[in-house]
Amino acid sequence: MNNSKRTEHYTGNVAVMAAGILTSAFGLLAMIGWILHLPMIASFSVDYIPMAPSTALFFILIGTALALRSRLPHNRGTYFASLSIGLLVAVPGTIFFISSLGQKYMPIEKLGFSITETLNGIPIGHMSPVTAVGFAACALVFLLTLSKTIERSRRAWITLVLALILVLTWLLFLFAYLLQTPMMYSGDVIPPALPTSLAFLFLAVGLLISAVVQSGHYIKIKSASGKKEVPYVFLLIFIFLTAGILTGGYLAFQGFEKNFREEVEEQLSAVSELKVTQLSRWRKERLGDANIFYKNYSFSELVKRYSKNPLDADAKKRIQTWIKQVAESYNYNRICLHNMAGTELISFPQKHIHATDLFSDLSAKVKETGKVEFQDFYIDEDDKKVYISVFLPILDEYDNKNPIGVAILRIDPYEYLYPLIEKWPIPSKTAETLIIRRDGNQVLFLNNIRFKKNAALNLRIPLTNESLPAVKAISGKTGIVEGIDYRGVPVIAAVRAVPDSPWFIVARMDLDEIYEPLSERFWMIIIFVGTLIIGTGWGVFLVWRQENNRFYREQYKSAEALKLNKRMLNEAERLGKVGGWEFDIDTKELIWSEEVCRIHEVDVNFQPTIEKGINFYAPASRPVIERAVQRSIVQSEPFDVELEIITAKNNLRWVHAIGNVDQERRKVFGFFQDITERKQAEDKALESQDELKKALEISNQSRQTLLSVLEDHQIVEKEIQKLNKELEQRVIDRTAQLEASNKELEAFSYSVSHDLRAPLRHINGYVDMLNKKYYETFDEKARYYLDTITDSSKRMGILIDDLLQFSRTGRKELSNSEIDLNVLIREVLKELEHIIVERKIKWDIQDLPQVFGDYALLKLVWTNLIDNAIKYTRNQTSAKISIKFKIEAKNYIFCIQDNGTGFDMKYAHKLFGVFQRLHSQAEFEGTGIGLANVQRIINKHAGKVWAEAKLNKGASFYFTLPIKTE
Amino acid sequence: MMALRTILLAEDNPQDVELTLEALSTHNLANNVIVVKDGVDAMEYLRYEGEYKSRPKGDPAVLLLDIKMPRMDGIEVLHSIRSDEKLKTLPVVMLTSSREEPDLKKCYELGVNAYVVKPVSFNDFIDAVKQIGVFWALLNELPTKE
Repeated sequence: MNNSKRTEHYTGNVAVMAAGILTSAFGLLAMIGWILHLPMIASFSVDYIPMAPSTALFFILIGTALALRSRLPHNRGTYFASLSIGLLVAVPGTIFFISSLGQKYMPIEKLGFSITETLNGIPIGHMSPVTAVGFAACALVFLLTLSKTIERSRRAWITLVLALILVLTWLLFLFAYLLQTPMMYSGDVIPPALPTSLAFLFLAVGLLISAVVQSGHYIKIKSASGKKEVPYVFLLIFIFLTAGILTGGYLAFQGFEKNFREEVEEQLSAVSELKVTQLSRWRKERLGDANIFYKNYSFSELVKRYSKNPLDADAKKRIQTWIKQVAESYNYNRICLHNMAGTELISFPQKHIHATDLFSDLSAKVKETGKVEFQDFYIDEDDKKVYISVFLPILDEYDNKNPIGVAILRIDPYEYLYPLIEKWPIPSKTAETLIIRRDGNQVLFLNNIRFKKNAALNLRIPLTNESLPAVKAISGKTGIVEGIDYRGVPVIAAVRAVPDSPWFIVARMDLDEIYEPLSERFWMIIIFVGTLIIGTGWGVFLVWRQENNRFYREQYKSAEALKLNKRMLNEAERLGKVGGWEFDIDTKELIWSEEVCRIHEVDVNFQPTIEKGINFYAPASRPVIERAVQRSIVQSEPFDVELEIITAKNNLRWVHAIGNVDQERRKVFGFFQDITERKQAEDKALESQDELKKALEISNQSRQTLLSVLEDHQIVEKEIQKLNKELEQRVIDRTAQLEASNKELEAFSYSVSHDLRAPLRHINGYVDMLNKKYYETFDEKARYYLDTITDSSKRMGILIDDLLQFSRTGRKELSNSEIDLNVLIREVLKELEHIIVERKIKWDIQDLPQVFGDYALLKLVWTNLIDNAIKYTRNQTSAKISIKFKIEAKNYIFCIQDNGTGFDMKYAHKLFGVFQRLHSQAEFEGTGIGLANVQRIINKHAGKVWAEAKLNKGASFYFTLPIKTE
Repeated sequence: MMALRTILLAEDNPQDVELTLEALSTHNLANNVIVVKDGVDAMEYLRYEGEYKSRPKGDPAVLLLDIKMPRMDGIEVLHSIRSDEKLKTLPVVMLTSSREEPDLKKCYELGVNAYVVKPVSFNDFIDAVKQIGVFWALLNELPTKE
C-alpha cells in the first residue's frame, strides 16, 4: 500500500524534492557569499540588495525539510520533524515582520556577520518584511500540507489558494527584477533580494505541487463516487496560474513602461529647458552685441560726422573698421548702417542691398522708440536666405535721443543658432528640437527640421490642428505633451516658451523610438510569460495525467477484480449448477445468469421472459411455479420449490427454484439449481431396496389418490417427503447394519491372521527343535512323520495367508488410476522371473491398452493368471503363452492363452470357486484361491471372467474391463 | 568384546516365549533377556514400578513387543513409550504374527523402529530373531542419557 502510493505520486514528489533542493541551494549560496565576504553572491548584482543571512538560513531549513519530506515515508517521526521546522520558520518570520514594521532591526538577524553597509540608505543584512511575511505564509502552507490526506475540501482549497498566491507574488517580484525595475527600491522599507525572490518562487512552486498532489488525492476520493472532477481542478489551477502569470507579466511591464516613460520625459524636459536657457542667453548676448553701437558716443559721433559729410574718408574708414571688427568677432553675417532717410551708408561686407518694407518698418520703429529691436527670422528677398537681424538706433551723443541713423546686425542662423537648437545631448533617431512662433492663425516653423526640407519659415500649420505639440505650446502649455507631429506620427514632446521672445521650443521624440527598447522588453516578457505558461501547463498536465492514470489504473483494477469475481462466480455456478435470476416487477424484465441458461440448455444470450421461463416447466410443475411466482409478485411471498423442467433440448431435469422479493427495488430474485443428479441418486437409492420400491409404489398410489381427492399439491408433497424420510431412515439403518457386519468380518480376519498363525508357528517350531535335538533318537518313520507335520503346517500357513488376501480383496475399496498394462505385465514377469528362467516358454504378448482401475488388484489378477499359465504348461516340451486383447461393446476383452494341461469344460463352473481345484495337489500345487480372487477383482472392476479349455489342449482365460476415461 | 545389553521381551504366549528364547540362545543372547507377560508389566519394568521397583538401573537395549497381549496391547505400550519423555528414545521392535496393514501403519505412525512378522518356518524365525538380537543388543548405539 505504502509502496504503491509512493510510486503513484512519483512525478509530483520528484518535482517537490527538486523545488526544495533549489530553495535551499539559494539559501546556501547566499550563506557562502556572507562567509566569503562576497555579498555579490547573495545579491547577483551590485545594484541590488543581498539576501539577509537570516533569510538564507530559513531557506536552507525549509527547503531541506520540503525535499526530505517528499522522499521520506509519512510517519510520526517525519511529521513532528516537519512540524518543528515549519514552526521554527513561521514564528521568527512573524517576529521579524512585526519588528521590521517599526523599522527596528534585530542584530541577531545578521547571524554574527559584521555587516554595516547600506544601499541607498537601506540597511543591508536584515530581512525584508515582505520576506518575513513570505516565510510565515510558506511555513503555514508547509504545515497545512503536512498531514497525509486532507479530509476537508475547505482546508484543501485554502492550502491550494495560499500556495497559488505565494507563487504569483514571488513571480511578480521576479518579473520586476527581470525588467531591471525592482520593486520597493525607492521606499524606506527593505525590498526582498533577487535571490530571495527566486528561492521563494521555487519554494512556493514546490508547496503548490504538494498541495495539488494532496487535493488531487482528496478529489480522487470524491471522484470514486462516479463523478470525474480531476480535470476541472487541474484546469482551474492552470487557469489561476496562467492568469497570475499574465497579470504579473502585465504589471511588471507596466511598471517598466512607466519608469521608462518617466526617464524619456525627464530627458525631453531637460533638453527643452536647456534649449530655452540657451536661446534666452543667446538673445541677451545679441542685445549685448548691439550695445557696442548703441549709446556709443564715439561711434555716434563718427556716424554723425559721416552723415554730415559723406566725403569724410576718415570717418568712413573708422566706421568701417568698427563694423568689420564687430561682424568678424561676433559672427554677424552682415552689419550695415542706414541714415535716417533709410539709405545704406556703409555695410560689411560691402554690398548694396535694397531696403525692404520690412526694414523700413522696423527702422522707423527703432527710430521712434530709440530701443534695440529684434527682427525675427525672415527671408531676405535679395538672396532668399533666412536671417535674423538686430536693429538699433544710433543715438545722438548728447541726449541719447534723436537718432541719427540705424545699424542693422544681420545674423545667419545656420551658422550658430540652428546648430545650437538642433543639437541633441544623446544620439537619437527621431529626437529634434523645433523653434516656432505664432503667425496669425498658424504655427510657423522657424528652423529647418529633420524630416521636412526647407521647412524654416515655409512650414505653416493652422492652430486648429490641436494635436500638434507645437500648437499646444502656442496655446500656453508647458511641459510634457503627447500628440501627432507635422508628419502625422505620434510623438511625445516637451514644450516651453522662450521668455522675452515670440519663440516656443518643442523638444520632441517619436513614440516609436521611445517604445523601441520597450517593445524589446515587451517581447522578452511575452517570451518569458509564454515559457512560464507552457511550463505550468506542461507541469499541470503531467500531474493531471499521472492522477488520471492512477484513476484509470484503479478503475482498471476494479474492473479486473469485477471480471475475476464474475468469472469465479460463473465457475462456482457451473460447478454447483446453481444460477441466479432476477425479475423486475414493473418492467417485467427477467434476467438469467449463464448457469440458468445452461440448465435450460439455451444459449447464454437467451432473452427470457416470465412466460418463456414458465413454459420450460413440465406440465405437472407448471401450475406450481405459476402460483409461486404469482404469489411472490402479488403478496411478496418467497418460494422454494423443487420441480421438473423440460429443457430446450428436450431433457427432463429436476430443478430447485428459490425466490425472494426485494420490495424496495421492486424485484423478485432467487436461485435456480439443477438437482437432477441428486434426484437420480435418490431414485437409485429407492431402486436398490425392495422396501423402497414398495414404498415408492405406495407413495405413487397415495399420491394419485391424493391428487384425485385433493387439489393441493403441497399435502401430497408433504406425504411423499414424510415417506421418503422414513425410507431414507431405513436405508441408513441398513447401511449401518452392513457396516457393522463388515467390521465384524474385519475383526474376524484380523484374529485369523494373528491367532491362527501362532499355533502353526508353534507346531513348526517345536517339530524343528525336536528334529534338531533328538534327530538321532528317531527312526526313519518318526522322521517321516515329523517332515509331514512340518509340510502340513507350512501349507496351512500359505492357506491362511491366501484366505486373508482373498477376504481383504473383497473388502478393499478400489483406488482407481490409469494403468499402462504393458508396464504392469513387465513387472509381473519380473517378479516371476525365478520360475521363468528355469523354463523355456515362447511368449506372445500384444501391445496392451491403458485401463482404469486399482493397480495392486489388477496386478494380482495378471500374476495369478500368468503364474497359472506357467504352472500348467510345465509338462509341455514347448510351452507357449500368449496375451491378447480386443474391443467389444465398450469393453476390452483380455485373453491369456496357454498350450498347457487345460481342463475339462464340464468343471468350468467350479473353476472360480474358493478352494476349488481341478488338479490334485500332487500334480499341481495350489490353494484354490487364486482364480476366486481373480473373479472377485474383475467383478469389482465391473468386468466378467471366464475360461475355455480342453483337456490337454491348453486353456484360454478371458476377462473384460470397461473402456473408461475416468 | 562388546557388552551384552538387556533385551526386554513382551510376549504373553509361553510357546512363543520359549521359541524366541530358543532362537536367541542359539546366539548366546538368551541370558540377557527379561520376559514380561503383557504390556502393563512391560511399562512397570521400564518405569521401575510395582514388581520392578528395585531392579538395577538402566534401559534395555531393545524392547521386542508382541501386539496381541492381555490388559495392555503392544500398540498401547508403544504409544506410552513414545509419549514418555524418559523413554521415547527406547528402540522398539514389533515381533508379531499379524501382517495386517492397519497394525503396520499404526506402529510406524507411532514411531516403531522395526516391524517383524514372525515367520511360520522355525528356521526363518530363528534367523529373524538372531538378526534382531544381534543388531539391537550388540551393534546398535544409543545416545547416552544424562
